[in-house]
Amino acid sequence: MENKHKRLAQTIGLALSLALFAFKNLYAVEPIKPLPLRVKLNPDKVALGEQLFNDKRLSHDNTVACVSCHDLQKGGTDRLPHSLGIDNAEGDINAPTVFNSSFNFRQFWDGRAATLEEQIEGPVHNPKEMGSHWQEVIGKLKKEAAYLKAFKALYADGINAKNLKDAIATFERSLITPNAPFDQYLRGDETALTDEEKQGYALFKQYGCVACHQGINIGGNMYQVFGVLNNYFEKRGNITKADLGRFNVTAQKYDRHKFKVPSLRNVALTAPYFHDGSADTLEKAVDVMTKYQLGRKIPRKEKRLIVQFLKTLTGTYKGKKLK
Amino acid sequence: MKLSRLVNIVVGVLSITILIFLYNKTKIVNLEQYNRVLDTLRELKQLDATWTEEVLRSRLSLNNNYDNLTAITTDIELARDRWLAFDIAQVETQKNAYLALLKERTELVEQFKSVNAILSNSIRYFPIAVAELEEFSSNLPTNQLLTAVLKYSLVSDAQTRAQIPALIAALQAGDADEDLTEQIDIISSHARAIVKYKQEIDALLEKIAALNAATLLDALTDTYVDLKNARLLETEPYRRALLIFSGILLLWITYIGYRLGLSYKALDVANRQLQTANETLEKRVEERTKELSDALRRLKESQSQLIQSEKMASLGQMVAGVTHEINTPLGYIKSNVQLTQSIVVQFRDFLQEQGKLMGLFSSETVEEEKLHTQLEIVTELTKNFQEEETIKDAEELLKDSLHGLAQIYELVINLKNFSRLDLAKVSNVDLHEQCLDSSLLIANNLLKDKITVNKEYGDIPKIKCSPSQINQVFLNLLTNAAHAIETQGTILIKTRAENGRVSVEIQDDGKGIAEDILPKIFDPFFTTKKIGEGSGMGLSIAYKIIQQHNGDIDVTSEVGKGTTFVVSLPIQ
Repeated sequence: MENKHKRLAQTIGLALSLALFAFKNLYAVEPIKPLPLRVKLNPDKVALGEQLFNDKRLSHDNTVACVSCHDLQKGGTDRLPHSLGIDNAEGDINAPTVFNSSFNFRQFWDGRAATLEEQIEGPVHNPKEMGSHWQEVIGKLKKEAAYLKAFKALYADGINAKNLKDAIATFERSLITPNAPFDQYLRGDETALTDEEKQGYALFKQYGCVACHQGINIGGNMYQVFGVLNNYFEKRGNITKADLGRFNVTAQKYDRHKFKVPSLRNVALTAPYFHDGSADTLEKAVDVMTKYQLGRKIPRKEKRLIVQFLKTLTGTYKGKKLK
Repeated sequence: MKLSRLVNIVVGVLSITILIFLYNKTKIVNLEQYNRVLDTLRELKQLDATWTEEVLRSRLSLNNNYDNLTAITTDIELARDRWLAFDIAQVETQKNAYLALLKERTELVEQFKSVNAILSNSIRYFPIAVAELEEFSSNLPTNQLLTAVLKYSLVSDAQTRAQIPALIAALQAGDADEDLTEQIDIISSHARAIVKYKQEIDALLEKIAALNAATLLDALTDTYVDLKNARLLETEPYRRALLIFSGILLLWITYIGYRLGLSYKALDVANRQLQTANETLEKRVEERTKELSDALRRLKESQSQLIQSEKMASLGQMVAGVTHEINTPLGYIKSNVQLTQSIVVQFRDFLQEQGKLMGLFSSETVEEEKLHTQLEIVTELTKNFQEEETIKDAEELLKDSLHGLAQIYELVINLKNFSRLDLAKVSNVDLHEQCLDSSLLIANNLLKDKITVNKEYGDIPKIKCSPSQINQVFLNLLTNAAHAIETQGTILIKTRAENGRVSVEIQDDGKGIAEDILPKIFDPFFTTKKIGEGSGMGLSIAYKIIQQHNGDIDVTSEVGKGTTFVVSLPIQ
């Protein structure tokens, strides 16, 4: 009888501890979530998309490919303040990384594209970027038997703009960088981060960076005005159209200087920072953010810790750590 | 048959047309589509509610990121696009109102997200910033500002808000060290930000709450339900008609099926019968063949009987003549034999007297007188015999009689030949001797008084035939020829052989046969003679016989000049 009670008590105890553990994990209150380790996509479409992503024939003079500005060896960017298009035309804005772009709620700094497919339209038609149009691109691609064959195999209607975009977007959806040390930490590996990095994360939350840079992509799911508590553009001067941000899309006063909050994943690899490419180091970027967005001062040490934390956000692509 | 088939086709085509027509009429309402839209609208309403809820959760920091809120926006957009794929003109205004609302609400939520992030940060940081300042200088009027700002951030009352600018001014005007100015500025800007963004966020939340899509979505749902019902009502008569028509068709098909079943049954029976018939067919064919061959045999029998009876009939005609033929020699044979008998009696008497004489000569006692008398008697008798040539007469008589008997014998033999039933063909038949002559003999009675028979027999080989049948043919032809000759005339019989065939031509110079009846003469029962005189079968039988011998029989005739029959027979 006593034995029985003991066992019952043990069972209940075990169940309770298990439930508590599950509860803790389920309601883990971290504002940032790890990336999935893999996404399920049609591998043939990914391969075709990759080929197109690297194909310079998508530009008018066959000099610029998607990869020209979104170099996977450079954190999915060109590491230039403003990208260079055909005829070496300088663009108006800093190229954001293509990595993890599928986790952004909108595309472009001003969020004018709802999907990756919509986004592709932009650079192809932008006269300062690829300066082409679908008819021209399709005309060139149709001359290559391999493309004709690959499209025919994947799409009933062969090569057209819709299928081109689908293939490229599918490839872009495969460009995820899981398993960053911070993600490993979020998954429960306490050793994945050093104490300083953990302190950096605590400061990141404490300072309120996490108010905007949150969620699975550590940003990329909201808009924010650049220069909330201090006027960034007044200080910087030389205001361009691109600086108006989302205002260019909505023409609403409250959208002036409003930009999509960029993802901080792989941020250590994507300098220079901001839409204008004005900050060439993480330290400078953190400075700008604390001053204009948080309206605070930050001690050098804490800034260093935050930067250390930001460096733990570099993930892996195809099993290799990004550089 | 043809008409009913046409009617069937027309009815069938008409039925199908009506069916398709009614089906299409009921099909106009895409119920599934309507239901899908209604589902989507319900989903949108649900999402809209959750959206508001998530906004509030974010406001209350129950959400520490915007992923959920963003996911709802995406879900709403996806549901919206699903619904818009089935767009109809009747909801245009309502649709546009909802889309406008959705757009506005999305913008509001986005603004909320931005403002909420800043506001939360400032509210969280504001007490810290104040505390940091107080660490350096405790005599600044920070407490009132802190209380007012935190109060305002919680209750948003206008009175408190109105106080804040003065409190900020007081703080900035306060007697502070140079190095504290920056911190005071920070506190001031956060205080202003909290007031500004708190006001904004309240307005935003109010607008978000007010921009409730539920009412519009309910109205849209009602419109869709009304449209759906209207369409349903519109198609109700067609639906009913379709039901009734389908019922009728079903009954009709059942009836057809039943009839088909019956037909099938009948077919089955027929099939089985056919099978049985097939099985017995061989047997039946065998039976039938036997029956047929029996019939053929009977036919042959009756044919030969017919020929026989015809033969007997002609024979009957002939009997009188034949009797006469026999009677004549028989008459004189009889008288000859009677005369011979009387001579024999005389001769017996003479031999008696001579015997007596010889007895007298040889007796021991001679009685002269008696002897003399006896000698005289014998001499007288001898003289009588010599004078009257009695012996020679008797010889003559006997010779005549023998001739007569020979004639009778020949006649009887011919008759016997003639009337034979034997149908078998015999080789080596001499047509001249065995057929033509014997027929002429039998027909002699018909011919002898008025007709001269001329024979022009050629050199013909013996042939294979049934002599009795061929005889019948010749007898018939000769009889006809004889009948055709009314007073005096000639019958010419010619024979010759050529090309492996033998032909016999019997030509008379009688009255001839009229042209119009010439083609009919070989028909059975055709006769020009009086009833009882001829059966009308003679020539048809002759024709048949010649045919059976693989021969030909031809006739040419000219009225008043005579008729010629040509019988041609193969040698073998």
